[in-house]
Amino acid sequence: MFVIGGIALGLLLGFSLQRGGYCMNTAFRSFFYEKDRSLVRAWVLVLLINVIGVQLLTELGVLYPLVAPFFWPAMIAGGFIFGVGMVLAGGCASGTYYRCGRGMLGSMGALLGFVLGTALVDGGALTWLQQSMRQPTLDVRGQEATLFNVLGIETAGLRWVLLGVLAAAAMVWLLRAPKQRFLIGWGWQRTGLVVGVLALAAWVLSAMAGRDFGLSFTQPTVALTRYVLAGDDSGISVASYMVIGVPAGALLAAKATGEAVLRIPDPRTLLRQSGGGVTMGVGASLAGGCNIGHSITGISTLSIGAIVATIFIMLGSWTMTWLIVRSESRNAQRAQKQKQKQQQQQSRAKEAFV
Amino acid sequence: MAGKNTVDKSLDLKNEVCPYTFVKSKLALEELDPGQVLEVHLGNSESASNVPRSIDLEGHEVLSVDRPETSHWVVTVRRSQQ
Repeated sequence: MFVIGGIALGLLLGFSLQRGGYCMNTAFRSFFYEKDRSLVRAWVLVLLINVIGVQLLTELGVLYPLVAPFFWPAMIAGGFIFGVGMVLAGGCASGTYYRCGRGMLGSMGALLGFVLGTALVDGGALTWLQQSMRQPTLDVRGQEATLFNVLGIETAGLRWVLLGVLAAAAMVWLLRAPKQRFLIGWGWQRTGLVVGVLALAAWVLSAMAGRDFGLSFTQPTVALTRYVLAGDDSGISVASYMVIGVPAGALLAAKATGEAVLRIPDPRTLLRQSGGGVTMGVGASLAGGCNIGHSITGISTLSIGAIVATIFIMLGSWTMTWLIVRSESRNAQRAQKQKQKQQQQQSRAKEAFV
Repeated sequence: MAGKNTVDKSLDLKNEVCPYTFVKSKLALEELDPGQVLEVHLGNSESASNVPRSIDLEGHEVLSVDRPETSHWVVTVRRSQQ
């Protein structure tokens, strides 16, 4: 039953990610480099649904969310590395999975890289790095590092006051959004709503299967790799089935709109995306999560570690984007100068001829 | 719609993904003179939706977004007057 439930949830998620073009790489980058905030709004809506939903379900005794220890060096470094990697890979972890489904070979290279990178740090040759960087942890007076514990909030009433204030601020910002123009597929409202509800459903389905976490991509990827390559099924959970469903769901969505086409990038781009995938995998396995595990599921539990990891994922993506913008604009300037020089030479040659 | 405007520069980004699609489109547009028209060929729906939206918010005029083939979008933009 959990196999079918997991795959079904993955299919729906993949379908929605494709329809909504829900790429958190684009969302995080746009904070700094673009004036369009549509995908940021979709993310904020997902968080709104999940922060409130997880808190409600916890108080009702349905969920017992697990908050990872705040191993800050690994979260800071891993988050930053992941952020750099996802820009090079041309998509975040979930973005890479769903784009594989619709036939983008560059994303398949990135996914293979991601598998390699996660395996390298989680059980592979670089496991010592993960272990040593996860040694120093911080807690709040012996309790897990969550926003509530940091602020010393212990009663349900105060918890809801804080959540109410945060939710109100998010709502005001979302309601003041300008109309989203040049839309293909779903708008940010529908994308955020559907992905948000599916992420919450992942918490409930996982809880039913005895796993106290929501949607994630990193750990399930490691678990699937170990199972496929070494026959070790100890890490396989309902989340692994969801991950399998995502590319299939995206393929169905892309088929319907005629976008399911095998597409091969030029060799340089393929290499860049694959290398980006390795980088992303190393970062995610150090940080203990990716743009989904930390930036959606982890933040739903108001974990300080997830918030810090998300901030560093953003910093990594901004840094890498800045480097790309700089090198591209240099290339453009160089090309223009060369063109001018050629034109000058041509006109000089003409003058000499006359 | 695109036919009415003479295209001053054409950019093939069908095999590129974000952020390269936006970065290259923006730089190409900045090289043009005000009022000149850029045509960008894109190969995925995310870029075909995000590139015109971002360029529009930069203040340039998006003239059209066409889809000649199922996974081929053409965006034509006129550079702003500034």
